[in-house]
Amino acid sequence: MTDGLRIKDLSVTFQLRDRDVRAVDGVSVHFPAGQITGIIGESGCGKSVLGMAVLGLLPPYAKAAGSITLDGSPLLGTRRALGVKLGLIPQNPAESLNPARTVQAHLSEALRPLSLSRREAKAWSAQLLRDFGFPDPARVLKAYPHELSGGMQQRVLCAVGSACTPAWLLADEPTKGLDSALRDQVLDTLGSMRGRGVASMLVITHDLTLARSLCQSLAVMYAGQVLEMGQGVLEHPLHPYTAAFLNALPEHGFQPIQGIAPRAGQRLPGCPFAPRCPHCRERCTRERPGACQPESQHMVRCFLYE
Amino acid sequence: MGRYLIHKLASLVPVLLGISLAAFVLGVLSLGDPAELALSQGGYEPTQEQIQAMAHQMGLDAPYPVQYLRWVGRALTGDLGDSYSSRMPVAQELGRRLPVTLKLAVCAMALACAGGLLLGCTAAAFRGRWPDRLIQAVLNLQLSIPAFWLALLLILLFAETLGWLPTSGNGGLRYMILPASVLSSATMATAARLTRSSLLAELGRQYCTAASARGIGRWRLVLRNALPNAIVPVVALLGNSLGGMLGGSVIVESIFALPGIGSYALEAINNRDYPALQGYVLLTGAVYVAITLLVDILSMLLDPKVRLGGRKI
Repeated sequence: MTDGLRIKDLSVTFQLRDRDVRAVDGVSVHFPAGQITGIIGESGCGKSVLGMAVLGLLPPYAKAAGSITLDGSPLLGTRRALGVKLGLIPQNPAESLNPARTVQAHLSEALRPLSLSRREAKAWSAQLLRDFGFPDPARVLKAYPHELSGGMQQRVLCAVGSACTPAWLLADEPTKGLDSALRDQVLDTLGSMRGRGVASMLVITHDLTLARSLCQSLAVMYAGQVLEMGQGVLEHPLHPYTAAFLNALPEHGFQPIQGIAPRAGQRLPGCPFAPRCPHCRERCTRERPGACQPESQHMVRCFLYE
Repeated sequence: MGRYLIHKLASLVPVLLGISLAAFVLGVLSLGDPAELALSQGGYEPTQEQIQAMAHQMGLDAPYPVQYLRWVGRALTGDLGDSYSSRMPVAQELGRRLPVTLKLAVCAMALACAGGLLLGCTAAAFRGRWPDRLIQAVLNLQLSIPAFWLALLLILLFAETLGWLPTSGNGGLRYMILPASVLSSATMATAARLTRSSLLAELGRQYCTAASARGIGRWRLVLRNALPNAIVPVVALLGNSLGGMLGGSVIVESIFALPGIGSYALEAINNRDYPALQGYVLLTGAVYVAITLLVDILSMLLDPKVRLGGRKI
């Protein structure tokens, strides 16, 4: 069954000492299999938290409610799919490799679900590194993370994340903090994943260039909610937030969005964008808009399209 | 790394000089005339002439700097002088007693390492759940019970009531179980706490999240991923404790009647046996410094960044 990744009424709440902060607020979305889907949004909109919830790697003080299913089987509360069906390419390569372990140790650990012998694991690791553009894997396998350049670390992480060829791969901010040459390299690497048997990907990013060139469809997040999702989001945005967001880009004239974004965890009874929306009506502040599908393969949560 | 080692070794010279100076000054500041003390052991009352002759023979009429240099020179050749009370060379006595202290310290350190790491890792792996709370309670108890009281309790239970272990004395490993348990108790607790907090700090870092995403279990995450990074401060702590333990524990050695250097120091203090005390201070000071150096080197070897230098491939 290749139903894809289905998220239903997912809420993630961080229980802090004095208050609860809801980082993901009632997200229901379906990521179809066989596609690269991007999740875009400003910093703090909850996109990384959504990704960690899918992996089941939320910190202990976070509480997730709702349901996440991968091809029909539930993901929330279990880590069985990790590594095998669902891999991660974490953000910030320098921080994501264990400084006390060699590249070989990382790869062997990632290959454990395949229960290979030591020699097989070594051979497989070398092949993986070759696939990700290391012509001389023997030296890299023995190296510690600090001996690698940023781009090498990123490629090692790609090899580790896709070692067991999971059907789904989640890339969390893969280009964050990288210069443009490295970014192109990462783009190539991620693009090559599909040739390696990774059918579907979820790319969390605020890099619109990456989103445009890599992803077939996009989900737009704002204040813990997915406001718009589908194909051609950047070409013809439906939601007023997406439109305003695109207008704020340098190439579209730098027009800032009016007002300020809601504080992290601040909950509004209606549409989260209502206070800043030029099309705001009385109903928008009272009621949450449901999902509308004005175009095929394009969902939006806005009363304008009802 | 070579340069660092040379620097480190060079910095030990003033420390060792300081220790020897302190040991020497201890003798100078001591109450009573050493020549008189040396002669009057065992109730004998020497005459003034005898004392002066003895002072000359011991070199006490020379200026202090000369006395210090002579004393250091002799110490370097292994001559720490003769004990006032036993008339035996101090170095010989220390050499006889050091193995007992060494055995006790090694046993206690083995217990502290094993217990500290085991408890710390378990507590971190079950953070906030009942095993963690139970371990924390036990560690608090270990830290707050004084050693002498713990020693008496253990003797009461395991030696007197149950009769499993000998009460005191020196012998095989069986004789070491109780003293080593007492000596290691507080160190074990401190090490376990440090291991736990250090592990929790590492577990919150990004590389541990990335490791979890490989679908590994709780123990593999803690032991294989977090521990190699978390252990560095724990090694430093345990090393410092080992330095202390090698000085001999006065309390533990006295309670369990172990003829180690700790109880020797206690006897020397009671007998105003200054050469013995000087020898003890010099020996334990030097051992402490050596252990600290070894721990420094070990800590460096544990960090691949330091071990391999800034090498890039």
